[in-house]
Amino acid sequence: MVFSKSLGKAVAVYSGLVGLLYVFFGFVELLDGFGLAMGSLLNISEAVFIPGDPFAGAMLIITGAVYLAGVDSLSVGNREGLSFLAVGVLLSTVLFGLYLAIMGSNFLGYVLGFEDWVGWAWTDDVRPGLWLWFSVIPGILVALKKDWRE
Amino acid sequence: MKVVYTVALIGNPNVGKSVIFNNLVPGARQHVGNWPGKTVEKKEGRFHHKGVEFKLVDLPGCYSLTARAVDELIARDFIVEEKPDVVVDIVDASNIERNLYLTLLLLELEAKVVVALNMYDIAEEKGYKIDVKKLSEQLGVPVVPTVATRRQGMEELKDVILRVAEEAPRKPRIDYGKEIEEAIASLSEIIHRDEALAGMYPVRWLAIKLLEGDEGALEKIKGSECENELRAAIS
Amino acid sequence: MSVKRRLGGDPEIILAERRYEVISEILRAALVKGAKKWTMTDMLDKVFLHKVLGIPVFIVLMWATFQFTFVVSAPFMSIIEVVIGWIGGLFEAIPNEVLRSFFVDGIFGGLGFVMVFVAPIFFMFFALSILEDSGYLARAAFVMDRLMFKLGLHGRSFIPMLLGFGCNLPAIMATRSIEGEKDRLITILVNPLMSCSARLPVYVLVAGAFWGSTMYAGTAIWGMYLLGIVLAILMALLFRRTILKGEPAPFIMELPLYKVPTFHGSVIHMWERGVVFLKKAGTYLLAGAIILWFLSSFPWGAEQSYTYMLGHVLEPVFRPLGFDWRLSASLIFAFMAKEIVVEALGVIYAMAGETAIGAALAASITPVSGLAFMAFVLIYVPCLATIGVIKQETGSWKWVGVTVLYELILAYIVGLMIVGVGSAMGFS
Repeated sequence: MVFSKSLGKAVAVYSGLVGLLYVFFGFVELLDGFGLAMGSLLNISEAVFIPGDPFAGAMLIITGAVYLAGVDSLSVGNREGLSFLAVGVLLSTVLFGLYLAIMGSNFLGYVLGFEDWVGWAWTDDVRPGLWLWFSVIPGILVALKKDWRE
Repeated sequence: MKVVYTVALIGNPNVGKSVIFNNLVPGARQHVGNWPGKTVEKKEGRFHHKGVEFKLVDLPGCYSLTARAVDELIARDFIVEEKPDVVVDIVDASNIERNLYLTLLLLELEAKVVVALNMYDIAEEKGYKIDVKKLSEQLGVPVVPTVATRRQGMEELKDVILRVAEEAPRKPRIDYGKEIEEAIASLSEIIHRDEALAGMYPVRWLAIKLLEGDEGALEKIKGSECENELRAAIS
Repeated sequence: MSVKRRLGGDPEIILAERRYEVISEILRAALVKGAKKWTMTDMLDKVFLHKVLGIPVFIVLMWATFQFTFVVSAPFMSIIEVVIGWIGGLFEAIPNEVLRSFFVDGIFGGLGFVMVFVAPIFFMFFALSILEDSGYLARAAFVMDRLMFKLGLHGRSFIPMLLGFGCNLPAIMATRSIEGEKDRLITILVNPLMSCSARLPVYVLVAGAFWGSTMYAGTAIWGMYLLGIVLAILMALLFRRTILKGEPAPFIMELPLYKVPTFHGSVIHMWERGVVFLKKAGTYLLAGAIILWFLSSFPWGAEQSYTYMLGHVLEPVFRPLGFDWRLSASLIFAFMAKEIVVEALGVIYAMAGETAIGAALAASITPVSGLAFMAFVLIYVPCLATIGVIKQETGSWKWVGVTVLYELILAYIVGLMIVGVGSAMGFS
């Protein structure tokens, strides 16, 4: 399949959107982690499950930055812009896998009845890094296609 | 015709040297120890080919053969002092420029070199095409293409090792340009005057090392009757 | 006329140039570079080696690694704890008092507690194996090289330093890949300052004792890791300027192609590295636990055990830092392996369970001294196993001596500084 300029533009828009999502929720998580409850944002936090870990937020911001970095080259149809998308997707997936593993291991602790896990509910571990991944699935398909031609 | 030929394996790190070692010598017949006095691992093994026995020694992976790094010194000393019958230089075909540097150094050492052009498949993937025959002509040594992970080229490699082991050393000459060659020649002349020294080390190699100010070479000329003259010549 | 002038430069450099010229000529005849296919490796390296994004991306992957190591391994730690407790319980039935104490308090109480940390250690090595096998770790070293160069360290020192956070033993062994002898030596000398996983139980115990599960506890622990890094940098610079003068060797590194790591391969690597810890456990930690138990339980039934006596002998030395005899005694034992501090405190306070020991600690020393204690444990000497590796890798006792000496002095100074600053700021 040819990586045309118009296709590049489409991918650029997609990459930009995903990037912005990550950066936005990254900031929310970051601020939440510092205890800076910001009115309406706090409502969003509770609605979309954001445990307050400032570092996790920072990681999301960096991931978003990678997506955004690729927008420039993708928009002019430069195939090399796919690098940023590819690495962005990789980071998103790593974080997704990590949070899934954390949820899984917490589940294990809960099921075995250890005291640290009493009162755990799976919703405790739902966080942006987890559900944002679903938005990058199209990106995975794009980045994995091996035979792009200029 | 010797009873057992010694074959040294050398190459840059990450070129598949271990894979080739394991292809030639199955695990059970390997022996792992340390280089005497050093903490670097030494791997040895034996294999047979066409009725001849070979002792295979794995030299540490290195990019160069200076006196500055322990690994390089071990490799170099082994070749200079033990004088193996064959030195198999494993070259990563997909990074051939970097890898050939070591090959040239081995030729300076006047070792009996066989080049195993490994990772040939990856080079092809990258779009490189290597004319093996021409490469061999230019270097003056046999070149065997291999894909060690798929055990391709191993039989041919063993054939060539046997052939080179039984031949006399070739002394290929790579020309480094007029000025350098003149400097090497004048140093070589001085070295030749000390017969003992000239008998122990490849003269051209020693001359090159002295030119470079190599610590190890300077050690080797200590006590020689030509030492002062040599030092004067390289100052 | 000098050779240099005749050749127009340093012969070594000129020869190197000539060799590359020869290689170019050879390849001109023998190599045809087809249309260079843009490989996956090139594509990924565009970002991983990016001037701006390279380090942030690295931070993300490292953070994920640490989260994986500590958070995901948590329930497994509890499982191990339960299993050990259960097995230990079987020994409660032994009628002989001394023998029973030997097994229950000494082995299962002491060594058992430490075995819990097998979980995070294996998790960490698994994650590191994946990073290494995929080819990424080489990029990380490359990206950090410029930074490391400014700090007087070699780019290749990066991976050993990173491994030091897991365990200094394999980290020091990994320095074999460093070419310059001086660079390698500096990396070895400074490596013990990277806070290894053995020290974590101590931090958790002490920080938990004073600050519970508040943000301060976490900060204190992070602070220790940071302190280790800062001190490592300072000492590296110091060594560079004084006893190991010279320029870092040029950093030439082969970046292997990226490949998808296999589960099988990663498990093998994890096992190879983790087994080192198990061996250490089987030997030093076990021996340590036994010796510790012996010294703390005998003279049997007496008010003052040997440990008590030992601690009191050392107490004056540590009084300026605010450590009492119990902490002083535990420091001696921790020489064998740093995890032993926790074992020791448990045995010395004759209590079990983190909260109980924690409460006892909080009652006997001030928070500032607690902090100083954590710092002291971070710095003071490498554990016995690490000392063994240093001797093995440097080939002499001289460097072992240097390490032990500088670390003891540094630990004391830093401890004093912490106590000093703390008192000046009004925390007493």
